Amino acid sequence: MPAPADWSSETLLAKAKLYVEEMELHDATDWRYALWSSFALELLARAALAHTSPVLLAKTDHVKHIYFALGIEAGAAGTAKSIEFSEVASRLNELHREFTPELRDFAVLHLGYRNAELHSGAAAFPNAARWVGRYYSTCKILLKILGLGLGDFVGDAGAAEALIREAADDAAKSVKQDITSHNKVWLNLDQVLRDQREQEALAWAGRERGHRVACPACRSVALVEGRPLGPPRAQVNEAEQEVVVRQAMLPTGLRCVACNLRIAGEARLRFAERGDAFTHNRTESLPAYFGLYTEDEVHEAVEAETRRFMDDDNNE
Amino acid sequence: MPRAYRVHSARPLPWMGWRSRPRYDRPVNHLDATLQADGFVVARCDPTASTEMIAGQLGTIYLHPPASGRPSFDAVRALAPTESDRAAPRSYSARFGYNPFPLHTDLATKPEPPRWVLLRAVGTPTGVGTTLCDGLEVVRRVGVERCAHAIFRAGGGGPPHYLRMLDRLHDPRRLRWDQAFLQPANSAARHVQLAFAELAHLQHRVPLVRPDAVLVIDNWRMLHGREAVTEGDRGRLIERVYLQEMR
Repeated sequence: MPAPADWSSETLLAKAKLYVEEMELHDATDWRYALWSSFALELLARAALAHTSPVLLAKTDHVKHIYFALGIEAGAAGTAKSIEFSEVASRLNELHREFTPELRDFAVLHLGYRNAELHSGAAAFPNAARWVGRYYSTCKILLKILGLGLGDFVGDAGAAEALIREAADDAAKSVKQDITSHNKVWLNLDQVLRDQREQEALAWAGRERGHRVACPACRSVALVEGRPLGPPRAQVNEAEQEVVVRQAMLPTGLRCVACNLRIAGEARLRFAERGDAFTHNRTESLPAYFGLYTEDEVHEAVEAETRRFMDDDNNE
Repeated sequence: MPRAYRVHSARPLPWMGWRSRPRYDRPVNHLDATLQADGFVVARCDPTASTEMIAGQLGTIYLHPPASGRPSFDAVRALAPTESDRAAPRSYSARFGYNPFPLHTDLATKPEPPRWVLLRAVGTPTGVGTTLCDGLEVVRRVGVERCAHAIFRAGGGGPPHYLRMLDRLHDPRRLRWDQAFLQPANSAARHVQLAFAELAHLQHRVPLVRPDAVLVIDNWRMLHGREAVTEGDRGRLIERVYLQEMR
């Protein structure tokens, strides 16, 4: 059953392209440049999600929206609803690793400015210089999901790539500046205080809280948090009656309690040379991992299982 | 099941039209190669076999969504020349009647048009030919980048929406063209429309006369049309099937 034209990746992409052409008719300082950019971004994101399946655009509070997305005419035409943009962005982040949390957050923020622009008297969009590099970076990844490049979407792909590079350079400079400034503050501290803070950081940065790394500013033990990358792998050790669960993680942030350095985001961590994936290990007992009951707990287990299958007795 | 068809193909030169001596000795498995090379092929078939059966042997039939008044999906549609006043609304016959049909790709207003069109003459033999034009050649002359940036507004039944003329996402590239039901929505599309009008001489004709031949067209590449229908040719009847993929 063909998908409805309204939610087809093809038509969404075509409309996004029309809107980006409108955006490019205006100077970057013009309010219309920002407004059309937000329209184009939303449609491009929806096209990228629909590329996997138009059903992913359907609201799930009523099955008629799903029928519509499947192309089944069940009285839903004209009343079918699609998900909010924040949900579109979340789903893209879940389905496509290259659509990182930073890109997701940027897209949601940019559409937030669009809503403020449309629903208030405020000139809501910040200066374009502050977002245009990330804008094209986000578009580039969404186009990649669609199997396309910037050249298929914008008028001057070379100029867009240059803006992306400038934004990356700025982010790298900002991270290096942060590290340098925290390092200066650290070096100005008394040696006794530095030793004390190093010990506190060592005590705080337990392996169960995250991945231990050397802080790029003060070399104390810092922690990198991450998000799961792929499914966990469990290895059973029968002799020890335990299971070791290994989970690959993609770094999302760094925190050092010694010099108070914080770095958030995969891209910024890469600039700080702390962006490598790591493995998080945890050990559980066999019964706990598999939800088994020990001999001592058999009585409780029987009661629990029995309760699951008993109907409520309203006469009791 | 007996083989329903053998394949022959002729590579018509734009200025000469159809060759008069078709070859019958080309094996069946050359269908794909010919379609890839030329964008269309005429295959000989068993005149007693149904069009649906022939199509089913060639590939997966694309079920056409029901038009208004029709109870179910149609695998085979019968096409007869019709006066414009009596034709179904939003059809080519309604627009052009017995006049020539301009070059177009089928279901160009759909986001996912079918890949292959199969045409077979089943009525009275007539002199009305099917016109063909290689869309790739048109794109090359107009400019690939310009065509890739051309956006059209699709009307003609159903809610209007926007579509790209050339989709580079697919391999091979997917082209759509329909002057009747696609209107230019941006400057690239307007340029393409103007340029296209000057390229009509690139078309050539393929006669569809007998039920022992089917014309298979790559709908993502070739534009096709129909010559004018004179009073003596109004018995022309063509059966059309869409195929999504070839076996």
